[in-house]
Amino acid sequence: MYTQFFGNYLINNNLLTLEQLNIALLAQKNTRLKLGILAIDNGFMTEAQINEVHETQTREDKRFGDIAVSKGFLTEAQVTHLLKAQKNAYLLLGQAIVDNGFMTMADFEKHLNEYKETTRIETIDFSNEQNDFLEEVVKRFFSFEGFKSSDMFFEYVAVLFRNLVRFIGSDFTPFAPIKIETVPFSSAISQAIEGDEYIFTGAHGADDQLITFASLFAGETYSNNDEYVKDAMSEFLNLSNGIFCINMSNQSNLDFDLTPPSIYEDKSFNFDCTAYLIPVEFTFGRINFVLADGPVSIS
Amino acid sequence: MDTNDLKIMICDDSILARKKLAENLSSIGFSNICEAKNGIEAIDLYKTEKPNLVFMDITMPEKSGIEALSEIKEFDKNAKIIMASSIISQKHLKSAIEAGAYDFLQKPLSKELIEKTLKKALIKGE
Repeated sequence: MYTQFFGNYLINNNLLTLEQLNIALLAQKNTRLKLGILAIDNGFMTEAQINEVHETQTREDKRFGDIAVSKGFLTEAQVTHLLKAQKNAYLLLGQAIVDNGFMTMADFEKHLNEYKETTRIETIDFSNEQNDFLEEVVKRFFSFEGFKSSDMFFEYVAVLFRNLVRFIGSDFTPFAPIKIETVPFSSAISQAIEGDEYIFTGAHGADDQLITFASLFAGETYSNNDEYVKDAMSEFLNLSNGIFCINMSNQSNLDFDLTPPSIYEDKSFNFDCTAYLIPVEFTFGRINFVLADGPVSIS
Repeated sequence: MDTNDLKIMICDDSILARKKLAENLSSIGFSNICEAKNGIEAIDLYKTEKPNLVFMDITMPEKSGIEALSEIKEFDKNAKIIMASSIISQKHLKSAIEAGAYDFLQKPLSKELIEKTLKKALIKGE
């Protein structure tokens, strides 16, 4: 996730255009070093063991290293070794930016150092892999002014981003949340999280982006924004929200329930409560996620 | 035991979830499958098809999986119903156990998990 927020920083400071960032993200995608790849490279794990850990990760919001240790595939020392090897993998994005001529090496170094200074990124313990680290980064980039339980929303966003990496891919850039009262859309899905707290969750986008997102999630090739695409979008939201609810139950003993996902076309979400739009730019285009601490009215 | 003699019912409002589960069941030898997309359909289909085992989602429109579970168990106390949900809360677990669920699985369901569960429920007959 360090890479995703570095992309956000470069765009927000007009150091790179969105088009350039997407080209660089596509280029680094093929060379990104995953912990599993490093584990194979080091002879610590077999492909079957890697697959078993990945399969567990689709249901449990746990780190690769933690699952591998619990299954007896890796020792703690091996995980530490792999994380050290992995922690500079985000530099591959920088490499792609420089290789494509979007920035000189000197400029890249300068902006990277400014980014680290702005985000106080060096103070974060990289050996923590991703979970706590990601929540820290989200807190530095995002502001959820007005939410009664803002920590819960930071946790929600961290879980959402991890699930985007898990189910869709890592080539995306999250943008700062925008406070909203009304969100017009052509095609959207929503689901409410009810119980000890109330959270409205939703997502909308243009047809092409929804089709690509749904195809990546389902492992299918869709060509129209039909019921299959809307169903896959709903199922992604449902799975991600389910993992968030389980985390909240484990961490804070909060009990939640999910409403069945709803599908809408050519309408607006209207809020009387605090609501935010979280734009996420993928290499195939933008998907907007919506979060609110109260119910929505549709018009 | 010939797996083709065994009928499995899938109840989920998601087309994708039904398709993935049916594909996984088929790949491990279970091709006698019937599908329902909400709790109401599940109850009707159970009565006509009498499946050997049911995979039941919880969060569904019309009638939830827990309500459908209770009504099917009233009709057939020996019904083997496996609840499958993206959310496992204490409330869901308690309601499912009280209503007589055979097992409770977290989605997404992998082929390995389905195979293990079917072995326990149908082959070993536990």
